[in-house]
Amino acid sequence: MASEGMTEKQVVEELRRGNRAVFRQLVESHQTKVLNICYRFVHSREEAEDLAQETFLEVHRSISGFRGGSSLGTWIHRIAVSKSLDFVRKQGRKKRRGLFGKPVSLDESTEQVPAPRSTVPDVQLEMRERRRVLQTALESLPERQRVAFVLSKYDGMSYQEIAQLLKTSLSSVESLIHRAKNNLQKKLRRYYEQEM
Amino acid sequence: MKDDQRKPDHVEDEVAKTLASLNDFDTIDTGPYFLTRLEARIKEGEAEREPWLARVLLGSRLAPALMTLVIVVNGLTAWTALRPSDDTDESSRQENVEAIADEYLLTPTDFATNIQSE
Repeated sequence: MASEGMTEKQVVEELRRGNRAVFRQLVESHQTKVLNICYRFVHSREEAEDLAQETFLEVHRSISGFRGGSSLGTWIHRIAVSKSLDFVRKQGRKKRRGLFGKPVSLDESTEQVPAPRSTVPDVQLEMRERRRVLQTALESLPERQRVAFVLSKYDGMSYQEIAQLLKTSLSSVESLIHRAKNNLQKKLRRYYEQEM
Repeated sequence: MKDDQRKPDHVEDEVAKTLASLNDFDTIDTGPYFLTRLEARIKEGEAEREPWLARVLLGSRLAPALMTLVIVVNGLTAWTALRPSDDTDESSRQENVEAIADEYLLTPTDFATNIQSE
């Protein structure tokens, strides 16, 4: 393989020289993780794949600006998160003030909510609805809490990696996740109390 | 238990189930053509960044033809400049000399005579 036995510094040098084989290797190593990071924010396979492509395009364009302050992987994941958050912001769906006190989406398209695991239709419908409610609640959180919480739910990412991505400490990440969970519980509680 | 007493438990239950739904996300894989599409997009981006004239002139089909044209034109120019002059050129040069001499009422012979007489 093109980048086997190379240090990260050497990989970066080769990428700057436009070494296509090394770039291909880099994509193959990181594509699944990047895709799943995006997926957890946008909840659509097609959009996640587009965003993953955008992420690697940005890596290709900006590699000369990579200073090595973090690992190459963390830098790539940071770009993926940034692209995903930009996408969510720009989506431009119709909003209305909702139960969570922030604009909520009227878009109940099933394309935006990933198919649940169960094959039983009633269960699927229930799970789809739960994810829609959760997605709305997540979008009302402060951005850093949302990022930390969403990424913490992805098995492929440790708290340490989240800390590096957010350029903060491990204890800050734990605090962000704790506050995110508390805020989500409050919002969901209010929602379900009004529903009943 | 009355309905009102059951309500908070039910709400908490719903909250817990909704929060847990985030744990049910599958890990997805990229499609089989992910890398191919990406490389095509990179190539497109690189082409867009080149000036349009460079794209036209250096496009793979035109480059050999243009290079041949440049060589031929240069060759013709060099040949025209370096070839020996022929009689036609000599006679027209002589005509020019005579026309100038007439203009200034001179002939080559008169000029030579004038020099000798001084």
